[in-house]
Amino acid sequence: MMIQIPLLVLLAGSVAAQTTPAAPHDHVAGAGTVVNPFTCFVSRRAGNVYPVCFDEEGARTILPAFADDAVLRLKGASHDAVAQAIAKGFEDGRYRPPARPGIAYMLSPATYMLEKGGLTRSYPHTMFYAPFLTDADIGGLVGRTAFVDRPGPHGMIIMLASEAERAALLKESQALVDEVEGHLGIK
Amino acid sequence: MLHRCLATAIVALIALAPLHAQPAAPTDFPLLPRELEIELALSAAPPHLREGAALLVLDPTGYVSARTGTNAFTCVVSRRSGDVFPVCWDAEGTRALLPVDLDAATLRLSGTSNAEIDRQVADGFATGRYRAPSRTGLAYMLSSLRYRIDEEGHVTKANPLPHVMFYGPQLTDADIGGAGGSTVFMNKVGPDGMVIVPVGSAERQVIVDASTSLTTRLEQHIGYRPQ
Repeated sequence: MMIQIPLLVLLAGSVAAQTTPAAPHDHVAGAGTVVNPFTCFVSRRAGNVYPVCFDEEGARTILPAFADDAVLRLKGASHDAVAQAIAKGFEDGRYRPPARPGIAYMLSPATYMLEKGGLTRSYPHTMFYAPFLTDADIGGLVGRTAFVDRPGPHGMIIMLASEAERAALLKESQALVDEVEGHLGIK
Repeated sequence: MLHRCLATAIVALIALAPLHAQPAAPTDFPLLPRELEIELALSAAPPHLREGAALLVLDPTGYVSARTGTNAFTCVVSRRSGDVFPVCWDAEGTRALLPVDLDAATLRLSGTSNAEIDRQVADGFATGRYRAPSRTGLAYMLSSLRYRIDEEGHVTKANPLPHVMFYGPQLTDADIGGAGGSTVFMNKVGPDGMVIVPVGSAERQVIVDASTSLTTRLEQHIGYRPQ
């Protein structure tokens, strides 16, 4: 799914206030000036479409896998082939888990996950790097206070935005959400 | 007759001796009825973790185990420096940071000043007796109850701020995009620094409403009088 650059920059910038959209990785067009440690872009990993802003540690360790995922998909690789290539990247040491605690923001209401062949709007949230942790380690329960997504080297603890915060974010970004959903063909 | 009176007095003094040998807990380190302490400690955890969490309670010489756990969490009512609040640590926090609280309690209950305890804790981190968490982890502080008790026993109540804490040793607000009072911020910078993620206003109100009875009983025990 191709989205025009100005919209992409807006979408990426909608994730976290005070964060300049920037995309320094080779495979993603750079945009904006870097004035803080965060790197924002619109991920299409695994067929999802969502803006995300990684801190320095995430940009070093997780973003490269996301970027390679995009390149492989643009070249026509299947979902399984991409998953195998990423897994091999961990075996080869091309990718590594975050070496220190860190954070990534996915606070945009324009966040879409692939479910049953279609994109569905998902909740804004904040993620904490949690390599190899499980829900048992953190007392996680999906949809509740905190839970682990994708346990493994790039596992994350998800903290959903609160009810009031979600409403405020949606109100603030309604025009952007409408525009993105128009492009994505989401009703 | 005189000998009998003297003997009676000595016996009475001996009987009272243990009471005198055991100094009263400092006012900023209140002892609580065990059931109240357990209820308060567990209120820090999300409901689904309470039944299986390990528990520590304070007795006159320090924290002791009230029960072992069946999940990764250990809940305790912290009192360090008169800052009274319940917290539930995951396994990494229990290993790395809870010992600081336990040692501080033992020292305070034996008469050490809070300033000296702070000095010993800083020294403990500097010398390796204490360490920062070595992996990502979290502690739950989902209770709305937190009080400050000074060394004269004056009690003040903190604004309710139920939250989750992620271990963030040496991280700064600049690193995490944090800002005080926002959705994410650092409580301090250091080996025991934490990323604070407060719950939302609606979620907070649910917690406050559910704590009414516990709040009343706790405030009676610690002598807090709302202004």
